[in-house]
Amino acid sequence: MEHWLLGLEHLANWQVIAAIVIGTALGIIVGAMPGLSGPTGLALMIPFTYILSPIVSIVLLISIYVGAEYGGSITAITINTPGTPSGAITAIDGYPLTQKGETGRALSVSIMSSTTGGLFSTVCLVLFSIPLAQFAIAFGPVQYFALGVFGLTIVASLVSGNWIKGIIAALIGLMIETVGSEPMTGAFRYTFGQAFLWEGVSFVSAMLGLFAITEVFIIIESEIKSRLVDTKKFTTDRISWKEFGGLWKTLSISSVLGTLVGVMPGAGASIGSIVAYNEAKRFSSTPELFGKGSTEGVCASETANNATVGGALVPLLTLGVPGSGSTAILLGAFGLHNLFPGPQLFEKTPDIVYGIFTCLFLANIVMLILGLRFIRIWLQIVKISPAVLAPLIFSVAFIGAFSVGGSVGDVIVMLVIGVIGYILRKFKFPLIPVVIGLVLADMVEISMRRALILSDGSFMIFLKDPISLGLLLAAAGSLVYAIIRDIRAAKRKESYESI
Amino acid sequence: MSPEQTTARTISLRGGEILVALLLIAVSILAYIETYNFVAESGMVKTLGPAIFPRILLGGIVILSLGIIVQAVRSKGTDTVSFGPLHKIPLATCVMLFQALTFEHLTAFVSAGLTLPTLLWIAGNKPKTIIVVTASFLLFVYVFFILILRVPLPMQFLPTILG
Repeated sequence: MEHWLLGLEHLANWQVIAAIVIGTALGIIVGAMPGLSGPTGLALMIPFTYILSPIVSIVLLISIYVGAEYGGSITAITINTPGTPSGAITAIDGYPLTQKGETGRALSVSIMSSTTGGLFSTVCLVLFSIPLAQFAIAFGPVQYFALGVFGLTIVASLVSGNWIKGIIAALIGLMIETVGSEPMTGAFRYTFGQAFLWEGVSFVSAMLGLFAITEVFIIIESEIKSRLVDTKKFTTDRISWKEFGGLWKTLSISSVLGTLVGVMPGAGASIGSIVAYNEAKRFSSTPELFGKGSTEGVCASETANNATVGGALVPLLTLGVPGSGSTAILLGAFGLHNLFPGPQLFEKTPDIVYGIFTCLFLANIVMLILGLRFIRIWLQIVKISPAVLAPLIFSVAFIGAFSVGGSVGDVIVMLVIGVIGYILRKFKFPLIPVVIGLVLADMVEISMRRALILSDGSFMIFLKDPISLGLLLAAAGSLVYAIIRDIRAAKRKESYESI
Repeated sequence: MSPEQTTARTISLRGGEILVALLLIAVSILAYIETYNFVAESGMVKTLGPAIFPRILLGGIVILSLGIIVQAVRSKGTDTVSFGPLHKIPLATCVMLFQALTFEHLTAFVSAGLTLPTLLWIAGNKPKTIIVVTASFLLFVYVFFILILRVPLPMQFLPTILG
């Protein structure tokens, strides 16, 4: 109870309240813009959170994450162009509703469902993270190494359609993090005499390079011009609360599924939406309407994708293992403020943890208010031209990368990583494992070397501990699953092509 | 001539994957050789020096890159990767590098004032849009980043003019 009071105290700070409102609004904007996504928005904002207190920074970033998951549905529903990957599932029924002249109903179902999913998963976050953190308190270097390997493997194998590419991407992320002063002996690695690399690759530069600069290249070469959209044709009439209450079955199923999928590293909001959409269709009394403008379809997808937020924060806060691009960036942001997610965070800074819980509830309520009250404003976002947006993203990213260390070297690192990210993305290597590799590199390397010092160089130490063995087996299991999945997918593709 | 008046190109995904894999192997070998230059003070390490972790990772990258090559050679897939006009990305990268190299010498405003309109032009915007967006962005930088957030951007002689 006393921890909750500490958390609630933050709500008396006007900066925290402002961070929730501004963050949620920014998240909605970022999520709604095709080309921008939650991770890109988070990466662009991180450099400017340095001047803020840790709680304000983290609350701002988490609010962006919450808002972005809803924002993706706006352009999905209105112009059939999802702002986020999970928005693609919302578009299946959202856009047909717009074509029927029911844009306002679709958008209101979307925001109400997003809020319900978000609130449900926040309750689950509170219920499950505290006992999980207490369990993880006994973890030492052996368990942390296995946990890091598990996090990396499961994300790399699940996030990509090709497990080899996923693992290579994760290894690239780990390699990038080896640049600079080595954590245990202080030896310089891959610095080539450059002073700006002594402290390693700046996390902010790496994030901006991977998400912002890569996106700028993709937009510039794709030559997408402004969209001629008449926003006046969109209706803004809402669904009634009573009618919304009739969707309780879809809301319940999708909230649970979204939260569970969110907890699984690598699965993410789009998988949450797909799973929930399929289940909602199976349990619906009108499955024939799915795909033709069903409010249940919009409800399922949006409830689930926002429910993944609270779910994804469970492993992040309790174990320090991110399961998605957004949570990986959040983990990096914690580090920039000398906060290290894991059991220690609960022990040493309960005010921050409970502050996050409290603010997450509030962010979902703020999202509901902003979503319902300002539909007309969000509809204007669809008019923004990607051709204008891309150079602006670069310019903001440039200032962000420079402002962190006041060094042009960090900007050059951002550009180099941007080019690497662009090449990887073009050839279908996923970028999320690169980020996960970056943020987990220290945990994996330091834990591995500490454990090996304890065992006098024997790798058997990782197999003797039951928790470590369990995690490594789970990692191996996820790899085997991914290999079988890829073989089956290749066979299906071959037989389809032969037909 | 507007920069978008050129044709897009496509290459096979398999060919591209082999190229990326070969590139990764080459870079990994160079990075592996570089690990011999990692120097740790004696007594700090037993058998586990600062090179062990990168060497494990590089070994993994090489083995998996070979896997990508085998996969690509055996694949009968006809997927392609399309690129926009080929000069756009190198041109945009050069402009970005120009801003990085001139940022401290020309000041933030002059450097961004040159590169932003060039990037807007490369992205295919009209002159009126380029002028309005550049002017608005520079004003935004001054008000938001300099006055409100107090980001220490290189200004040199500009503070006296701007106040």
